Amino acid sequence: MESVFAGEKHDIAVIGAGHAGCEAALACARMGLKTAVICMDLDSVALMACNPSIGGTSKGHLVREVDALGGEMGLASDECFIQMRMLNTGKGPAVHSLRAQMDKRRYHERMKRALENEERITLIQDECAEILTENGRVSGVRTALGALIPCRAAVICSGVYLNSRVHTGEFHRDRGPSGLSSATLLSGSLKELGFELRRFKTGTPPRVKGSTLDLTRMQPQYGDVPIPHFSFMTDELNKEQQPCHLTYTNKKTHDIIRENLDRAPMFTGAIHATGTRYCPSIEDKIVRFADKDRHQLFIEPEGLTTDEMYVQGMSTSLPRDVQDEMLRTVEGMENCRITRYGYAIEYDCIDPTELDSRLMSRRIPGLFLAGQINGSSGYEEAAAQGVYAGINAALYLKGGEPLIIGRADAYLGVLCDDLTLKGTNEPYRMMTCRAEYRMLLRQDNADLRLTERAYRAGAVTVERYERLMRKKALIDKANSALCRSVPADERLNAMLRAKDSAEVRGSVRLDTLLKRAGVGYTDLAALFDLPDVGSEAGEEIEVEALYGGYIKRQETEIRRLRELECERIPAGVDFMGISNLRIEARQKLTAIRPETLGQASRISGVSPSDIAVLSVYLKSVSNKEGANG
Amino acid sequence: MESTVFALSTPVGGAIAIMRISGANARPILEKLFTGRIEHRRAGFGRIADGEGETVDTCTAVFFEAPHSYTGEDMAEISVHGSYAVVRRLAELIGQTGLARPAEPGEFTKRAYLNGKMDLAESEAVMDLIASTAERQRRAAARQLEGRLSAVIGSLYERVKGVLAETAAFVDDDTDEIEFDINEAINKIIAVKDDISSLIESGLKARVLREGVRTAIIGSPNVGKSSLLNALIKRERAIVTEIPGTTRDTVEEAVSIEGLPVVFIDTAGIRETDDAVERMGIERSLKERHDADVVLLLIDRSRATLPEDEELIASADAGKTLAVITKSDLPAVLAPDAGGSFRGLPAVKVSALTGEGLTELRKRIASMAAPGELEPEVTNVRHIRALEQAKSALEAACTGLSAGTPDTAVFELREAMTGLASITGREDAAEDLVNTIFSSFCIGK
Repeated sequence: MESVFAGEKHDIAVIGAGHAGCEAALACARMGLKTAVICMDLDSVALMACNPSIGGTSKGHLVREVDALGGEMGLASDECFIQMRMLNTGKGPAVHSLRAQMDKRRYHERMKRALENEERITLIQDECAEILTENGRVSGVRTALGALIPCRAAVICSGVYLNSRVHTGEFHRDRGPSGLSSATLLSGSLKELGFELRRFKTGTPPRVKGSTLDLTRMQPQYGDVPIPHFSFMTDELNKEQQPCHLTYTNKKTHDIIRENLDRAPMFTGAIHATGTRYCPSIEDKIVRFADKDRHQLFIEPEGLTTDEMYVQGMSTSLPRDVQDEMLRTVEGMENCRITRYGYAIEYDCIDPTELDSRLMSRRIPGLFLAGQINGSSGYEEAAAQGVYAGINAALYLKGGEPLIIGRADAYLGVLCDDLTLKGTNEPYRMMTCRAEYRMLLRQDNADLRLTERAYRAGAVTVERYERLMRKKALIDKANSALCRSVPADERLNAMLRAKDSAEVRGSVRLDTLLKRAGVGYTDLAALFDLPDVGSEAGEEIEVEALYGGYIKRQETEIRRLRELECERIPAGVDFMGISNLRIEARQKLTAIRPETLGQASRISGVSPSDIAVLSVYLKSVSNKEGANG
Repeated sequence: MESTVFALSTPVGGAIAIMRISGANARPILEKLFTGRIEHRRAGFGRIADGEGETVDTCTAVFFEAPHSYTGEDMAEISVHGSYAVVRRLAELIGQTGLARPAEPGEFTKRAYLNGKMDLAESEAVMDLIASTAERQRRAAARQLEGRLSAVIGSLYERVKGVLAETAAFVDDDTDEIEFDINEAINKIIAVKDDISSLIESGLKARVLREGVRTAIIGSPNVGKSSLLNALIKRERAIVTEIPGTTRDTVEEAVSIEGLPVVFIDTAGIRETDDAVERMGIERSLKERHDADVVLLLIDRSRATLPEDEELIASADAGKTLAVITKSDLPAVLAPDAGGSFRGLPAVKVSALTGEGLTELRKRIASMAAPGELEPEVTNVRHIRALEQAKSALEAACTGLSAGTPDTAVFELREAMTGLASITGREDAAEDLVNTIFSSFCIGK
């Protein structure tokens, strides 16, 4: 045994400083905890190891939610972006999604600086070797260098580093992403703590030298102007933006890949882990979508201070020579030089059904886990879990009520609910179709959904809270001004004609006009006496008018959900002993241990009649206790 | 607070059906739908009326104020006639108020227990009941769904899932990689919707098999309606006299014809009258004519047609009307069209007295009423309701797609899937959907 020595006492240790770890640490420190951040390489804090972009469909929603909870990702993105685009604008406001291309290096520096700026954070370059417990609770962590750091809680955000192994063709090495080391010590400690470890896999495409590409033969994609922003704290952005470029694979590319499939680790059996289906490697795509004669490739700059570019869509673990050959078949890439070759990476993760709804281990109080170790994928999914676990770890230590964010509150709630109740058999990616209340969970109203609760939990600043209150007041004021009838005069009808909207006669209520396609708040404000509300509140008012019917329907469903969420299941219930439950339901309930009837109802294999039986059982138990006590 | 629930608490097909509503909205629902008096524990008599004020049925309703009810909540019990159509319409109307949802197995008893209406010793029994009710329903559903119906619902479900996967993938794809043809999606949705409509219709047809072919005997007074009825059922049931207007109310008799259950409805003769009671009977006759599956329009050939006859011929629904030329034993005054029809209506010549033409008449009724190909039947009220919900969700999905808001279409298509899944008792479709998307599309940046 190597020598150990006493480290400085902290309230909490955050293990890892990727997208989950940074958010968790910032949340803890901002809520007053003395926080140790243990990171294997401080030059890789908030490293964007894969694509140089943040946001996109449903992921953009998550970034806004992280921001609404006082997290850093949105603010950092607004500072370090090199291109911003609002996507899906033709598909309805519920799925409008913001995506930013990022300067990777700057993003890392900006996030590292945010950690450094928090007085309560101690940044330590070291590897976590063991989670220490006393009486079944977290009591400290031991590092590879031998420090025993006493703490009462820990958040493990180890990303893809646990026992990670990379593959490029016939090359296999035990190491982390981008040539970094893998973490070899913590997996053993997790096993000792009773976690069952699984192997997941992900991958990344090659990076190329920009000056070796002929971008003029590709289709440029520019950012939006005016520039949209992620953070509810950002007012407006002004910056010169960088374009991305679109090109395509072709038959030749596919032929080369097909000829070399026998050298791909996914097919030779070198990789045993489960990969993602949504972000498949190019060799996967060729096999699974054999009838497609081309696939999109996006050339994305990695930053302003480098000429390296990311080849989005070309994720691969084929051998080096094949990567060179196949990339050079692509239009505009005939002479390209690869700077970093694509690889696949496999790593250890846990089964997230071992966690409770706030991402704490059910067996070891004080031990929280967030990010890819829970089987998710993506920077945004990680950051969302990080801020959520961080806030709840702080509340746990301070003895406050946990901040429970459910499926009806946020995409973040859907993410955590899915992970902890259903588990996942592959890296879990957020998608809008996973969120049943997506008409309510829009990117435009993340602050209205979450910030007030986060403020009461002590997680956001008073400035953010007051900003929200001002926005709410504007919305209320505008909505009551819209609740009036106006005479249908020629000026109004001229505006409606211009929007291809039917004319009105007599008089008309302003809020009904807002339901019409193309008619916006500013159009009405130009004609009638309406308060000036600005673009954010204006967007909110328009969407609520347009989707009012849907919003009402979803709110009714949510009330039903809440009835069940209010019925708590005591921790010690012996599900196996409830004879009227079907056997499958007893087993599932025992394994997942839901905290409420609502959670129980979402476990696959538990039927509505099982829930009814369970609710009667719970009542009879509480009656018995009442009678005895 | 618990939501309000409703369920039929008697089997369909009995003389009386009782719809129970439990929860805080029981009274508001009753006030919306029921015209009679609403008073604690007192039976009120009135009508169930739909949104347009159209009467669905006359009925009694009893209201129980919390906690003095079976469940301990506000409760209403509406007793309507046990006809399938009435029960279905009532369930529909309650659902449409948006104030209540269908109850789950054993839910009334469960609520009774949770509200302290039963003691602790009974909780085991309640759990047994819930478990067994659910099991019974599951078995009943499995029986009903054996064979073609389960395959039909399953394929509708898969088709909706297919369109939903395409639409959801399109909505989730932020790189414009997926080719999505909105019109093609709309056409696919319309095709599913049409199939659901005919499934609902087939449910109505199947009712014929169970409840009988409703055959109304219509005609001006003293044209021989009651005599024909008696001849068809081979016994004296209706009062037959020479005095016009003897049958003042409708008379129903069920017999089996060619293996089909047929319900004959003898109606009051149609004529101008000042007698208030007789006029009510006539109105009833016209309603029966409207509701019937087959109408026998009786014409007395031994006399010239009356204005009433002319009126009935002119307003006949040719698709379901058979002209029955009565009293063929008497000398003919009226002549049939060339080809044997009468004024364009298919016709049969009969004599209730001699029995002439009765066999032919039975055959004609059977052939008019027999449902063609035996389609899978959807008879369960809950199933029909689920189908109708799926149908209106599909309509809304088309609207969403054409209005440029596919995000709403995803929501509606999901609703349609949930509705269909609830018929076959499938499990949560969300993971199913994600799987379908992944297996069919290459998305994700």
